[in-house]
Amino acid sequence: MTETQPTPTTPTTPTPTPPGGPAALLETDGLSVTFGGVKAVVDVSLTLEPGTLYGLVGPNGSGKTTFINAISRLVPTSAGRMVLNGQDYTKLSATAVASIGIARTFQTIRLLNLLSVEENVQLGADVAGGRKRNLDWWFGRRAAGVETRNVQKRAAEALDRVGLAALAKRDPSTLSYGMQRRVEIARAIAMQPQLLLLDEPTAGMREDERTEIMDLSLSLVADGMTVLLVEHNLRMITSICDHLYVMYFGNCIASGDPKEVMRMPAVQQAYIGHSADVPA
Amino acid sequence: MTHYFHENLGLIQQTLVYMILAISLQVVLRCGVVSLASIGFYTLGSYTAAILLKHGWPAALIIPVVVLAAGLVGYAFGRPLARLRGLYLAMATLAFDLVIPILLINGGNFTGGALGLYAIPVSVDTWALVGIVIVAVYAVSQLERGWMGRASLALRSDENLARSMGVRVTRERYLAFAISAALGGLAGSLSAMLFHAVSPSSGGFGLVTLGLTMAIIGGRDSWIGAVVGAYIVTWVPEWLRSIGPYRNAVFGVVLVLVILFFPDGLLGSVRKIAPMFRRKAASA
Repeated sequence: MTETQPTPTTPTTPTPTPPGGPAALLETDGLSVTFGGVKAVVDVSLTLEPGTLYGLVGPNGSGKTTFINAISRLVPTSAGRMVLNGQDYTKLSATAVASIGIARTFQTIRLLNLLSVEENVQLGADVAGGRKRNLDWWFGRRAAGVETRNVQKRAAEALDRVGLAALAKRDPSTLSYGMQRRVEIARAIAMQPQLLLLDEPTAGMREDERTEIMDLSLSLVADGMTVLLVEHNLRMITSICDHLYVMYFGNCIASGDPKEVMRMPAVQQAYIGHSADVPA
Repeated sequence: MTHYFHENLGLIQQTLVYMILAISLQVVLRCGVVSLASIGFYTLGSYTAAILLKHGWPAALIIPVVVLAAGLVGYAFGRPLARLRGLYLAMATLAFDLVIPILLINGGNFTGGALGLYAIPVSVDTWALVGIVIVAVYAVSQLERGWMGRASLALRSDENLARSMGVRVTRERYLAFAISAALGGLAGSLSAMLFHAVSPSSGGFGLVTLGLTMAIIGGRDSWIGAVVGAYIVTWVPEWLRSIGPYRNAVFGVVLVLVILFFPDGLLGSVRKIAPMFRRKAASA
């Protein structure tokens, strides 16, 4: 877990990896995103380590989704750099980022209703297969068949992981909202990422569905994946995350142990407009 | 059977050529690339084939040359248009389709002016045509299979989703342009080889409308829809011949009704309805 001390009201600085400690999976250094004159993300530096569950919270419009979009290169950054496994990927395209080990889900459900549930998940599994368009593929030779089976296997495993293996052949539009969310997570898992970015995965869900998603996140982390979870449910996120980041008006105003961070006056100010006592 | 075949030979050949033209439009529409440029490549392909035939080139050489040239030009054509989306792309490619007949009319003896080129030696028989259509349809059907099929649908539905799933959006768009252009050129060259004559009016806005109708009423999600659409557009007006001068009006009304009640095309509607019947049968 990152050893960052809580630093209220000022942007966090990159955390140096302690000697002998785990190498950082992802580091952002002074990352900024601007849309015209609007500064959506301002000089955000954070460090994510392998096999850790991180939470990213903040009021609406604080820049959480823009930050995730920047990490996944769906929006251009105006300053700063991003490093994954020691490699600077700031200039890579979103397409390339998907193949270096970063997968994500979106705030709104984005399933393809022309494809079945398993085909939607195979779209993610295709990344790991490399999407080869060679003669083997065109003429349906054995090598292409092997890759197809691998994609199917990866997708089936991902669906099994989210508990939807029995619904693989279904049209996604016939599934409940919570199930559709889980299909999206399965699609991201099928990409076999090192870092999984979940953008409000439990928004609009029932309590039991939320618990399922949180349990799933914890099990992915237990398997060595790093998960960055954007959430509004503070009670839930503080109870499961190893480390919490708080964004406010594009700045990262605090980071550290979730319970400690939630007690900080600056965080309470950002959320409820004044400080309040939070039980330890 | 043989009598029926010979009696309708022209119509059968026209259907086969239209099938290639329809899939040339469907292949881009399936990717969400609203490009109508394949009609322009159809016209260019037909003139190129006609001119080369008149210069004594064999059809077996002309077809691959036209397909390759159209594909390369289509790829190059796709690059400046890559930033355009939706109706803006449709307008730009429509302009390309409409400029070509004007250039051909003003091409002097080389293009035959407003009359076009005629007395082109017929150089492809129907069975060879059937073989070419099978190869073209097979190639397009492969594009809809496996990861390429999934990627093209992702591209059409949501480019950001496609990017985040590692789909090379720009490259897939260029490829769709190139394949569409190659198929358009192929359909045009076959048309010149089968029907003896080419003229500037054989392309243009009329063919754009016809091609789009074929690709859309059948269903743009699959090559099957385009093939069915080509069949309908070619044969239904013939079946309506008995009603005389009203046939075009009736055909128009039929098309409007199909588009109103089957907005996903006939194939898309079948796909939507089929699971309902399956569920009903399972519960019975």
